[in-house]
Amino acid sequence: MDFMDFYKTLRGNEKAQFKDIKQEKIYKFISFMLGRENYGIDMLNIKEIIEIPPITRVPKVPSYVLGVINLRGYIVPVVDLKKRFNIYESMYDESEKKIIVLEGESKEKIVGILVDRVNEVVSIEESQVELPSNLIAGIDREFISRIGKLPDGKIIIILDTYRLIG
Amino acid sequence: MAELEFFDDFITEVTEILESLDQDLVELESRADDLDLLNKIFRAAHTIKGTSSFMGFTRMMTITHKMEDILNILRSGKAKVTPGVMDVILEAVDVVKSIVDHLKETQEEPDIDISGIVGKLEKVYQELRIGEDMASSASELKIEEKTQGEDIVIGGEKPLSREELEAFEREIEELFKAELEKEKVKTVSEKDKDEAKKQDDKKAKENTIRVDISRLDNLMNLVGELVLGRNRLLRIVQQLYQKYDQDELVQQLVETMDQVDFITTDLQFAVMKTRMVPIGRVFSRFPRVVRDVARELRKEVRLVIEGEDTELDRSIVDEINDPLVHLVRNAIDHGIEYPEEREILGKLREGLLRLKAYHEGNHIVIVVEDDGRGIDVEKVKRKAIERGIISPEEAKRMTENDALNLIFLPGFSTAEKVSSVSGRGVGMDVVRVCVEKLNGTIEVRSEKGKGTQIIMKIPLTLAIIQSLLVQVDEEIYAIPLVSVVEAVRLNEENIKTVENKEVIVLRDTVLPLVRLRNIFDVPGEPKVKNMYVVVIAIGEKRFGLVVDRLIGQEEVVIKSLGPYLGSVEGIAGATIMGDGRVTLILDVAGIVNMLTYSY
Repeated sequence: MDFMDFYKTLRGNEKAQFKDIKQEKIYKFISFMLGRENYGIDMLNIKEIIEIPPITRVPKVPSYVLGVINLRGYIVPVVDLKKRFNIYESMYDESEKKIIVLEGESKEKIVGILVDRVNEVVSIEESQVELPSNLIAGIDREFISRIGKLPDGKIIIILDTYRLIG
Repeated sequence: MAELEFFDDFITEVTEILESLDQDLVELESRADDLDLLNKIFRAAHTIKGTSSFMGFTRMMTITHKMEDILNILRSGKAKVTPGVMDVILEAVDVVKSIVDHLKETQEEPDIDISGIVGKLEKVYQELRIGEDMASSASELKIEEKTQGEDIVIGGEKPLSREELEAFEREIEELFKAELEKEKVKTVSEKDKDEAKKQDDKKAKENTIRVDISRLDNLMNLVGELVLGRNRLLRIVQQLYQKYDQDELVQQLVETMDQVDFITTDLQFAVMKTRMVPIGRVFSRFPRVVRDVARELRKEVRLVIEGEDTELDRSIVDEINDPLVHLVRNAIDHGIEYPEEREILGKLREGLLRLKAYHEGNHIVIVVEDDGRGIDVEKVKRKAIERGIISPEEAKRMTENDALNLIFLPGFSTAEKVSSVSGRGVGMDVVRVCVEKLNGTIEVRSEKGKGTQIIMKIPLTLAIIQSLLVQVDEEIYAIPLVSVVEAVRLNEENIKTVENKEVIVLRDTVLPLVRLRNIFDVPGEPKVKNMYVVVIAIGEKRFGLVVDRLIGQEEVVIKSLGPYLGSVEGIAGATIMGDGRVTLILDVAGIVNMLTYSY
């Protein structure tokens, strides 16, 4: 799915929201898959989504760092998010893997994360988002910022971008 | 937002003024009568006072206001600057500097107590005022009595000669005349000069603009990308030409490509040029440093600065300051003798310290030179043996030059007593590490009794270096060429083991080996035949880096791995190759450190 599709989805959702005027805050995320779970990252932190270019391995770094790539002249480290979170299942074809490039508060802090599949842009009302409970097992709690409920009832785990790239 | 914009301008302006202020003040000490200089200093203090009051930084304003008062008296010629007065003014400048540093970080004035410095400034002001009054009244008396008045004015300096007194009398007469005319303090010619100067300053300002360094970095990145694109294009055009060399359109393409190629190279150079700044920016801090250190150590030093217009990359300018301060302090502390000692030796009382910079190819050479006592090679050897750095046998075999360079080893200091200035035994070692970090080299030359010369050679820009590309399995690494001595072919059977360490014998010397494959955990099976050893020298250490294949020499643009990865052991950075792939650049100094830890 390319960026234009996201953009259209995004615009579509916006129109839908304007119809039923609500005071509630709307969060927008890109949803993606790691193993069997649905994860989300705040749209505002996403610089772009790219296919996987050649990756140069960097020695002497944690094993979840795949290496560095060339993003139009910038050296960008790429993190294998599944490895980071100790997720081992693979539900999707290798060819569906993408790199989501995240941007921190300072523009220099750019990190790419490797994910199994990128789904779509989702908008969630504030009331459908809550703090993570202790029931969430698996990935490190420290990286989860919120748990969201999608309109179709599915759960989306929203990640704390600054923790991820900090 | 508007306030923030003002703030940035304010900081840049004040920083600039403070930079030249130090230099001017030190100069004033030797040229106390230079009215132009005094006026310039007065204007500087006045500007800082004005802008800081506008911004509401009251501490800064108070201090500069008091400074202005003192400078005003000095400017009127009624009192002269003495080292004592200068100490207080310089101290005040230091306080202002620390306030500015704090402002830069927090945008707020630090909560410090300035009553100490204000008190000192006031005291100096009062003393000068008394002197001023005495001097004025004295002017109507006879010369002998005036001498008495003078004594208070200049605070303990030797009495003035007759000529000086006469000049003084004339000055005072002039001042009286000036007072009669009330508003006309300045003579017409001085006013003209001032005006001309202002015009000059204005012109210079109009011809330059301030640019945020990040914009230049961005520009540099874009040009880097352009270069990559051009390289790819060149390859395609070449292939096209081989295929259709008769086609007219292809021939035109080749011509146009040549032109684009040419312009791209020029553009790259031009962008690099925009990041260059004169080294004078660093050198200008040294009159102050030299003055302070000399005064502290009770030595007399004349500083000569040469080649301050020599340009180098901005990023290096920031890195070169600390090593230079170390070297200058060392030269004054260990090199230059006490004035009495120098007189006995038949030298001028004043020691000579020379800071010199010039270009040499793609490098800038910076020399710190003194005419002091020089380095005693035998003493260096003795110390090195004492510290267990070398054995007595080694000392005997050592050339003079090698022995001199022992001073760059960690934990080496020949200072007999530890002073606050140097002699902590870290100076030279730290300097060497700093220089090597910049991919530079450092060497020392010295002649006993005549002086010492420290020569640093640093690449003009940190961004672009010559490198040797090597391959281990599928991975390619770039080694900075400055640290490569040679490369030789190697088979497994040449490798010997000494105390569990792999070595080879290369022209009768034993060279420890490091396998790049092992230290970087490169996947794959090790080669046994036709490997290469790249002989690397870093400081006095030498080792051989074992790689699978040599690819060749290439100029690479260094980029950082970014804040996420931070500093990675053994990696200095990364570069983007012609095919768009990222290649890592080795940090040879880092690799040496890795070895010392693992053994």
